[in-house]
Amino acid sequence: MVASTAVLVRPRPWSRVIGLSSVFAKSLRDSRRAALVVGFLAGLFMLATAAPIAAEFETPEKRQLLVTSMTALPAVFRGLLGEPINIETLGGFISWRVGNVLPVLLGLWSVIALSGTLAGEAAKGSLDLLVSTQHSRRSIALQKLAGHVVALAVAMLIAGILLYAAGRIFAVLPGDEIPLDAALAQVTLYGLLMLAAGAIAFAVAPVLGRSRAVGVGLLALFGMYLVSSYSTLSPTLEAIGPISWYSWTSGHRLIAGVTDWPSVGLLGLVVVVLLAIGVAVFERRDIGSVVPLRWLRVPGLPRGTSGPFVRLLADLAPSALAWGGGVGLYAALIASSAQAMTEVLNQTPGIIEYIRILYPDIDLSEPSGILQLAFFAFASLMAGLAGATFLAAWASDENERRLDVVLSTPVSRVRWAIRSGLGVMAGIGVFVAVLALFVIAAVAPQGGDITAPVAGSAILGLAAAGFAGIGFAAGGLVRSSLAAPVAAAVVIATFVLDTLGAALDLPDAVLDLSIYKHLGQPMAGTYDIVGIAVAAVLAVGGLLVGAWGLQRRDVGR
Amino acid sequence: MTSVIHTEQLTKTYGIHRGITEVDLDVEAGEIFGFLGPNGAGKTTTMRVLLDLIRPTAGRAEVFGIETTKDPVAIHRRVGYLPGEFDFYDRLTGADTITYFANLRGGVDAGYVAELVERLDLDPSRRYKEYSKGNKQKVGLVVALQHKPDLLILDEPTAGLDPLIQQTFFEIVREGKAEGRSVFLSSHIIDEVDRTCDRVAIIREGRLVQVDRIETIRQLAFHHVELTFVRPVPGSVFASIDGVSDVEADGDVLRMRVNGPIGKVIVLAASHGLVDVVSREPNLEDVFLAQYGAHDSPVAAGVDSDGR
Repeated sequence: MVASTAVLVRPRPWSRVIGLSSVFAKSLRDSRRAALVVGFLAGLFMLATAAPIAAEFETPEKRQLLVTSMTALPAVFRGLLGEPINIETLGGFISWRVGNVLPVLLGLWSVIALSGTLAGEAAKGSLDLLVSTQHSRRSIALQKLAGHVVALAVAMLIAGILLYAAGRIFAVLPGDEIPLDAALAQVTLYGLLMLAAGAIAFAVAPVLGRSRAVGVGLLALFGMYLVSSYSTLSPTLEAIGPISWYSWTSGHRLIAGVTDWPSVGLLGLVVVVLLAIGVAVFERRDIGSVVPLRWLRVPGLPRGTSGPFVRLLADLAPSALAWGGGVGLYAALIASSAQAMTEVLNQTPGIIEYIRILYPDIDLSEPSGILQLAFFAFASLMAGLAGATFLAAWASDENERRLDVVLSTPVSRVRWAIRSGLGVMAGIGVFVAVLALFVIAAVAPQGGDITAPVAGSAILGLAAAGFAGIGFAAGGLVRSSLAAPVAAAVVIATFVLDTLGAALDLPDAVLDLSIYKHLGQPMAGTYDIVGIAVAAVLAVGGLLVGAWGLQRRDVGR
Repeated sequence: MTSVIHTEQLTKTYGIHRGITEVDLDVEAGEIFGFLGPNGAGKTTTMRVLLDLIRPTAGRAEVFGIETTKDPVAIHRRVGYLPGEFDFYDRLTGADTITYFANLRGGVDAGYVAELVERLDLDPSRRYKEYSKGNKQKVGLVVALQHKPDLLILDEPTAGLDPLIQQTFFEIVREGKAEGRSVFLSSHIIDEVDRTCDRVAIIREGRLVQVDRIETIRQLAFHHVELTFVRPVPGSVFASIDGVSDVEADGDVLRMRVNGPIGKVIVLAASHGLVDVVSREPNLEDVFLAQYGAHDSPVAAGVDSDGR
């Protein structure tokens, strides 16, 4: 007889809320880390947005200059951030600056979580076990939904408190204070906006399966934003603009002193209906049964069976094309607005002088200059995160025990590491190529210089490869599953350092840790060889260190 | 005979967790060697060390006379491996998956692959993620077998297979042996191991507890003995004999369990008016279950009756 060991532990008091006492509690338990990350990231964005206002626009005159400049921006640029409402106040500026962008970036969480909460488990087979218990399908679906919604509420509570803190810390002029109730009500809207695309993914996941539901959710997430933002670009976009929930709720900014509760109610109603559809469809369909949509597959992509390099590249190609297309579309929209932007800036001497002081090497009469100014920082974050997702695919070989079989062939560990690593780098290359094509398509018709933005795109890719190299080194030395999180953490830390570092008055030595401080202004044709060399060394060196590390450690640990 | 697998005091620990301890093992060329043990006993750990997927904490392992940590690629050229747990590429079809691993190896006979696919009744046109558990296992088997390796290392190769395909698989294994190939496999299908393997090792809690030819294991193991006398005989008469246990009296019949040779029991029984003897030889499953339940190691680790 085996000595009896306590397997079933006594439930702790809080396990009914977060723990293993129910489907809801486990869902919340599984979401706790994501909730904290999203909450603090959202709060950091708000603090980072508030800090420069307090530092750079600390007098009523400067605030007025800011208002004049921003309201003079072309409609297309105003669309990116929404209408500037009461931006002379700290709350007004924050809600304008982050109100549209933040729910789009962080809404990824809801899309990924809600597309997978049922469909992902169904694909793994664990949902069969869950459904075979005494809980009804409806109860399971509702509890899982509730788990995510509560986690999202926790994240928004954290963000709301940090938004309130931003008002307390950075208020320098009358009207800058942000009441706690207004902050919490504001982040409630952000939470609903984040939930909306996730609710669409949830509604279609029982029919389309997880990965396609993610695609539909992302399409909704970014599509609604772009439709709303660029409705002034074409009559078509203008006609469909009102379908976007960003358009509905654009007038609801409590921290700017304006409210439009009916629009929030409408959004809430839509979200509830979508979630209810998801629950109803899940109740009625076979578990794990997915409607095949063969016409949706990207045609003509090679299957990659000749070796580790092409195998990984073939697996990465669809996501590399999607990342490149998404970021490229954004670049194209920015570049195509360059002329209008330049004209407006030229009409606003104050702001153009300010930009010239900060970026002396940028020619604002060129689309490439505008791309450097308005696109590069965002693109650097996206390129880095794309590289991290490619690393996650690379790591799956070891995590899912495929590597055991691969390495039982005459392929050595070093050869596999180098070749599959080059596959990741090639994936980043595909991303860059697609991005460059969009940039060319947008810049060339304006007669602008295409060399600089294309080279800039390549340098973006090189920097992303450098971050991937760091991930490789961690994955090779310790374990593959660390590669993507380490790379993503470095990418996000660099982005936060770039956006928040100066406002926090960090020493130059710390600020200089960001590789983007050493790349010049590559989109605008100014290059810094130091940063380029560092990125190349990180990419190549990381790959070699990772291969060396894999050679020394146990596989699959 | 030369060893295709040879380990000396092979030990692998995972931090504070046990892996395997001082495993001494020899698998001869051309034999089918069964590696048995309860879940978590150390079978997979041993196999992964042999393939240099993990490195020994102490001791050494050789495959084809090559130390596993020195030149694993030379070993891998001659080995086919099926892990106990694996997952291939969701987007690839079965055929794509088999092709990929054939390309990694090179020189694979397409005709033999087609034959394997047909014998294992695998539809290679479906995407891997669409396969049932058993069909995924078939893909793994084809990947392991397709290059006709000199040594097959198979971890639970029949898991998920239906009985007919299990039979086919063991036929393929026996054909491999007839061609001079070696097989090192773990399995919980004891009947088939009993019929197919030349020798078995039983591992429990990371230590080898028995290694021998199957028939020798049976001989060395206990027998269920039933003695019928002309009149009732007290069980205590036999209980004092070494190796005798669980004596039960039922009228003129005594039933007992005898470990080792039963000669002494028969001699004593004859002196008490023995009428009939029934001795049931244990099958491998009996031995196996006894070893699973045992708490002390009855056989010196790694030493079999031939002194290997």
